[in-house]
Amino acid sequence: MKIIVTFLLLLSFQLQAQKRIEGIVKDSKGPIFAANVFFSSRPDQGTVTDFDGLFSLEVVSEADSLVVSYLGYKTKRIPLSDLQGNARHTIILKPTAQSLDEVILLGPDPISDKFAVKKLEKLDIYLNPVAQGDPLKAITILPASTIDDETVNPSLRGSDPDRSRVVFNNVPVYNPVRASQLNNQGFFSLFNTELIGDQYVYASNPPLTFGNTSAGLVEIQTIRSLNNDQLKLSTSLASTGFFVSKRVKEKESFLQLYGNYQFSEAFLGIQEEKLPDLKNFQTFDIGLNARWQLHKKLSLNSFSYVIDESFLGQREQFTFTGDFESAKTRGFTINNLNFASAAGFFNLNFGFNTESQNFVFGNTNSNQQTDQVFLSLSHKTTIRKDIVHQTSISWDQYASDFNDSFPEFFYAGAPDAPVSQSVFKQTNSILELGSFTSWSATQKLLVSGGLRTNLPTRDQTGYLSYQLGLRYKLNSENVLLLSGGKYHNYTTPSFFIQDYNLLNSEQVALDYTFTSDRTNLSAALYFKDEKGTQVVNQFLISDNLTTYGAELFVQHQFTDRLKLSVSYSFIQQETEVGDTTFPGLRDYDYFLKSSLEYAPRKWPTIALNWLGRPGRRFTPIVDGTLDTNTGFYIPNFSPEFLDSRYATYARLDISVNKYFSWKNRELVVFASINNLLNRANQRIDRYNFDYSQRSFDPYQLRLLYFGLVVTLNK
Amino acid sequence: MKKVILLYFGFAVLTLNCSNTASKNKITPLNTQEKEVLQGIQGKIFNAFVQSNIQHDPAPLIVIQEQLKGLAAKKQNRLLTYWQAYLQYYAAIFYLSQENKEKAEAEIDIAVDLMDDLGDKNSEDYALLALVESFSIQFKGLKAMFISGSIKKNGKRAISLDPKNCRAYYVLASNDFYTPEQYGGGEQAEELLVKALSLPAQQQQNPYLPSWGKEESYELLVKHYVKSDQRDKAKRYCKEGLELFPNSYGLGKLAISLLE
Repeated sequence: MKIIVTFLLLLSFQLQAQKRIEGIVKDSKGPIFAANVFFSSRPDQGTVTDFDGLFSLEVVSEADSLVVSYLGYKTKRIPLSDLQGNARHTIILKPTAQSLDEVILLGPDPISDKFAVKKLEKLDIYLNPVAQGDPLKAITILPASTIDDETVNPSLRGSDPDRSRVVFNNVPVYNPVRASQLNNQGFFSLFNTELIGDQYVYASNPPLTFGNTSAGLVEIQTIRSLNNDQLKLSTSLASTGFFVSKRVKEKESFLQLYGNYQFSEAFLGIQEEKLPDLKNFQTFDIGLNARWQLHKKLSLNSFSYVIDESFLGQREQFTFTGDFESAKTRGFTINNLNFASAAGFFNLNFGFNTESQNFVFGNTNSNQQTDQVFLSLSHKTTIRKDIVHQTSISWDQYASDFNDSFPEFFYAGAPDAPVSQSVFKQTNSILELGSFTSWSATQKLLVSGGLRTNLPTRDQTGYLSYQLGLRYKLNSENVLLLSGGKYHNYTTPSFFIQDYNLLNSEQVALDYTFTSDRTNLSAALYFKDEKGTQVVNQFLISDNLTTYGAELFVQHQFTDRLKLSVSYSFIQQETEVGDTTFPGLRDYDYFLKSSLEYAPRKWPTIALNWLGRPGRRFTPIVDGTLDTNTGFYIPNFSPEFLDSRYATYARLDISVNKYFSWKNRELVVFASINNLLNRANQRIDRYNFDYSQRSFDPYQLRLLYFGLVVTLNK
Repeated sequence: MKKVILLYFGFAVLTLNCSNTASKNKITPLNTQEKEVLQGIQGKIFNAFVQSNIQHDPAPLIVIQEQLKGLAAKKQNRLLTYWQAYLQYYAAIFYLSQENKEKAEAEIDIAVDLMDDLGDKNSEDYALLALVESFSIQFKGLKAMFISGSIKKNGKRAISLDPKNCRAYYVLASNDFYTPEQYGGGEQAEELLVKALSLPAQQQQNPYLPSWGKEESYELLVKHYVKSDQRDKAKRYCKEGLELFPNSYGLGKLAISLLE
């Protein structure tokens, strides 16, 4: 009998102990493999879900809780009393509130960064074979860059440079290039590459996080930490300069101070005949960039820059050829306050720019004073784990004072020819509200949308800019980008067009990129319909420009030492003047760029760069009619605008550099020869007094440049 | 006879109970093939790496590589991607030890790509991404400083997602330790490694999830103290490390050099 009782007790215990909990652990996408499942009283003796998210665990005590946890998910505790019955329990885990995307997206990185066709970092610029260390020159290697006059002010996908903007730390910098038209060596931007953290290129469809652009956008963000203190000294055939960077506290607080003096004596002295239109130039600039990490979540960045430049040369206008002088002093400051909080990321920006310019040529004497104030505030926040939204407000105040003497008759530019006077002031105020949303619809598909509208001031027209973007990442190597929208901007006043004209564009673009270890490939198709009164050249104003384009870029690393890149662009462009349609200024059947780099281990790195395209379009002057009042001939233009081309443009450059380092010191020695073949590429047509003979002035001929940079690291 | 039957029945129940107790609190049986491959996968990869080195032949690593590929072909799972990348990391170390730099670079690039492409990364994913990036840095020449920035970013992301992940602190420390001083290295390694050692290798024991990082942290901290000429501290941590990881080849080697 004792045995039976013992057995029954044993059986009863066994039946109780055999109770099991079975279930499946899932998230919104499906079963979770390897999730931990255990009872809170015995965390060391649990189980793990299988490939199908299934688990089975024996109950130890009824007064317990089941704990389910997995990486990146909120741990779930369920009282056993809630898990009654023998059914298979489904346990849904939710991602942790502080998701990674929040950490990544709610920093200072642009919300639109995935829609940039190119992102460059500092080293990309230094290693770029055509950049010569300049951030804006670095993008000229891209097929989307359609600069055709040897400057660096970005022209993107056939649009006029004044339709695109360069934004530095969220503040637009208009005309971001040095005015001195020295030669290609001097054709640099205002920015020092040492300051640059990231540079994003939006070749078309500029993100509506910024306004006042209807073509493309180059967004530059400065560095946010400094690794070490540094002193750089540089000298070359035409410049000498210094750059000092110093950490103030931690890596996130630092100062960067630099200055350069450019001079022409040596540069011209050895090759005067190659630059017949250049007589003298002199530039002095100084910049200071400072960043303070005031608090873990609060930082302030301030960049201030002053440049003073003068230039003496020779130029031509119709039948008159003579000396010209230009002088420009410019100063600007860009300040940013960033604050990251639980309520989102706040960014306050303030910019001020002042510049005065004087230009004297023949009977033209132009004085222009420009002041600009820019203020903006943006707020970025996560609406859902997969949706980030940014709202912004910006105010851009621009004032230009003109005091000009200019030819009374446009064809009579000699110093003794009659002049007209013009003194007036132009102001413009752009107040805009913007909204930009980025939605990670799936792991592969990112959708973005933007709206931007102005709050009209004075007699401005109201407008609404809008855009939609789709980014589809097929796999780690292939990405497709489809963007479209309508955009607005105002022209920047200059000597030739002194008004703030409202321009707009409607555009759509499809971009494809393939990236592998050794090969980068990109291709694009786009269409743009640009409207608004815009200068085509100094004699022609256009109302409408239609552009179709296709691009292909291939870069292949053959070995660790040899790299080749080839870029092809096709741009079909038509412009409307009045009711008539003519070819556009940047109408090119081919725009070819190629670069070959060879970097042997012991010998200097050599880069060969070649650029070829048809000549620029121009409207020839067919003959002249004597104006008996002035004694000058009046030019008679061909009735078909832009129906002629200069001769085919082709240019080969070679650059060589060698890097040395020892202890904490570095030395870079560089040399370049631009236009190696000394080809006289036609720049502009020139005529004799009665327009019966035409000749062409060339762009720069073969030019030698060399220098060195010494860096002392601490 | 009755007694015998009852005893037999009792024995049978007890046996059943014992068999249940044996299975209780153990891993839910996976499909045999999955279990065979994935249980203790980290140790299996390391053992294969050791075998490959002894034999000067990648075959043992390739066997696991193929098994993981086979499972991934059947059913995609982010944890499989994690272990595939981890295996690539060891394959890269193997090829480097065989002085085949090109192959080592190719293997580690695959690891970086696998982890880079993984969506919605968790703390462990970021820690492994930082680890494989830090190994790849030696092949990337001038781009090293940018990869170093990415390692820091990914290491910090791993910590922000899980402040108790010892592997995240280890990879950040390792990056700092191997960064030259003039580029800001060597300032934080000690602090990060001490932090890594204060954390458990796994917060919940799980044979399918990673547990690396602690042994490596001991080894690196000892190296740090040797480098900064703090031999007493080096000995202390070496001893402590060997108590926890008596079979550690790296710590054993350091211990011999510290005794000299």
